[in-house]
Amino acid sequence: MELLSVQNVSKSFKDHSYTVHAVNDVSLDIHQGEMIAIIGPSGSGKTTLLNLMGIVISPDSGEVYVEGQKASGMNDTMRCRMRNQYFGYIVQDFALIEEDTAMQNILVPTLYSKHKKSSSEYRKLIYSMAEKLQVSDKLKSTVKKLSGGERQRIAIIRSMVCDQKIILADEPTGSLDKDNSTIVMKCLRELVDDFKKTVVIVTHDLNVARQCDRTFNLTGGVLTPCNL
Amino acid sequence: MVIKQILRDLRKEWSWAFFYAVVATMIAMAILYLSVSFSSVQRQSAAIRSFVDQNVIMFQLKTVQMEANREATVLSNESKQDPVDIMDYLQHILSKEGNAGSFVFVGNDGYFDSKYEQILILFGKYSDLSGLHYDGSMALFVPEAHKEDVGKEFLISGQNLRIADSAGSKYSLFHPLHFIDSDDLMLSNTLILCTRDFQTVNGMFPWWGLSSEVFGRMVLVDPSDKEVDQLQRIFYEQSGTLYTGISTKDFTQVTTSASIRAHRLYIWFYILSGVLLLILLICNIIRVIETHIADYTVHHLYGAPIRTIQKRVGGFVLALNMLPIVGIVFVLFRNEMTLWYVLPLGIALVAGLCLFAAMYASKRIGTMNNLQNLRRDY
Repeated sequence: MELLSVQNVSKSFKDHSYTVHAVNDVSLDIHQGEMIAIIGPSGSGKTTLLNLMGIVISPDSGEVYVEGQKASGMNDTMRCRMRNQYFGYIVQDFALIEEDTAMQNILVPTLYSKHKKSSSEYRKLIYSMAEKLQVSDKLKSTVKKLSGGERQRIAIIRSMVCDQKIILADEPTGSLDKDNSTIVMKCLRELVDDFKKTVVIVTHDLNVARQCDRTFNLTGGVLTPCNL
Repeated sequence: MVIKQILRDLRKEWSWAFFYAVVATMIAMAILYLSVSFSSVQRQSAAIRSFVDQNVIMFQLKTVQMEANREATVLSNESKQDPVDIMDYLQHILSKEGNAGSFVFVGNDGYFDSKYEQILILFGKYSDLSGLHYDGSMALFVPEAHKEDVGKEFLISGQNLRIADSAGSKYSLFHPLHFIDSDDLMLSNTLILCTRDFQTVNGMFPWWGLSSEVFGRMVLVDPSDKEVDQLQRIFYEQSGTLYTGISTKDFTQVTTSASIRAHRLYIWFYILSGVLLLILLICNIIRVIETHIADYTVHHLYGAPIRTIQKRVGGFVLALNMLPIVGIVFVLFRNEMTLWYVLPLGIALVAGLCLFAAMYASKRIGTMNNLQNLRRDY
């Protein structure tokens, strides 16, 4: 069974007098342990598709299934619970709370987790992940004191702290230099290979897309497979 | 969990929270105190208007130092009138036919029921001026707080008197030189005796020497010039000092009007300050939400339902207003809840602000609840 399945999904936005068809009848099945890249020019609907996959917004038509569970028709609380359980999010600008420490940021998903662990268990887990990503000495620092690469690694730890199965990454290397981009992509690759996580990356960087197992092109809201 | 987050939000915005709490408390307190004070001044103003309408003349000690004029003294001696018997004069002028009024407070030295600390005696026209009307030569009234005593009889210095009525909740005592508001404890535990028979009442309290106090607060209602002259002469004969008659209008024109104007000005100042503070608060609520929108979105993405975010933002605004609310409750408590209507108004205002903040935050997340919300270039 597919871990994440998107079936004939469409989404459009009204912009004053005209309608923008951001995602147009897209279907995609994603399995556990896959790393998928969605490429396309700016404004092609990549982020909208990622939002639909992550149950952040609802489609106008079509269905999204997570481990066979239909997401449409769920109320806000159920959608939130599902997001907490299945999804981790990594974005270009890190989506970290600047005034809080790295540790506090990482602990955000645990606040809403249905299967809570003890505080010491979480801390142990976070330290082991931070050791691997070489940011264990940064956990007590406030985010605003961290570099871009460190921030993105903190965001990666947060996306896995509740053992989420799917990581949705929106331009994860967009704000990083070459060295940090390499580190982040290596981390994501390890998550797929070592921990059987599923990673969906939206990017317009072909070098990033080449490191993925499958690549799709989204243009004008239409998704097509492509080989790089 | 929500409370923890509210406290964390407060810590992040502590300087604004502190500034707002102090200013809001000060303004709320000032408005409350001025409202209390203003309503008292307004009641005083109504009493003054009534005195002015009835052309009440009061008497004031003349402070001008004068030297004796030999010629005038001779003239005065030639035209000197027979001295007036003061008791007869007071009996007449404070009777139904007379047009004078005065009042005295007499302590309760075991004359009557011990729950009344004193007795206020209104002579002649003063009961009418104070809004207490009765038939006959004597009547007893109780303050509103003791209206259960209406109809009961009291034996006061040998006189058996029935309580005719209560003076009413708005009863206050005005004299151009004094104003005792209805809320004042001096009136709430005081029995009120209205009389048009000076000598009888004077005989009831032989140790108090009522006549000098009666003179000191004497007013004449719509008197002729001759009546004013006569009373001035009696004052001079009795005390050796010169008193002059002055109309209530002339006496209060400067003092009371200025006081009312000042109160009105202060109230407008604080109301405008309050409105500005409210606008400032709303603008700042929007600023805080906009600043923290990424924070709220991260929590929403990772599992916080919109309702939780609403509680968090609403709770933050409520926490900002806790100190002013506590201040208002404290003031109400000190005022024995006489301004009971202020509390629901204050609560409604704060509830409205909390609701606004909660709805604004959810709308912002609702319209931007996607990953673009977390992009800096959005």
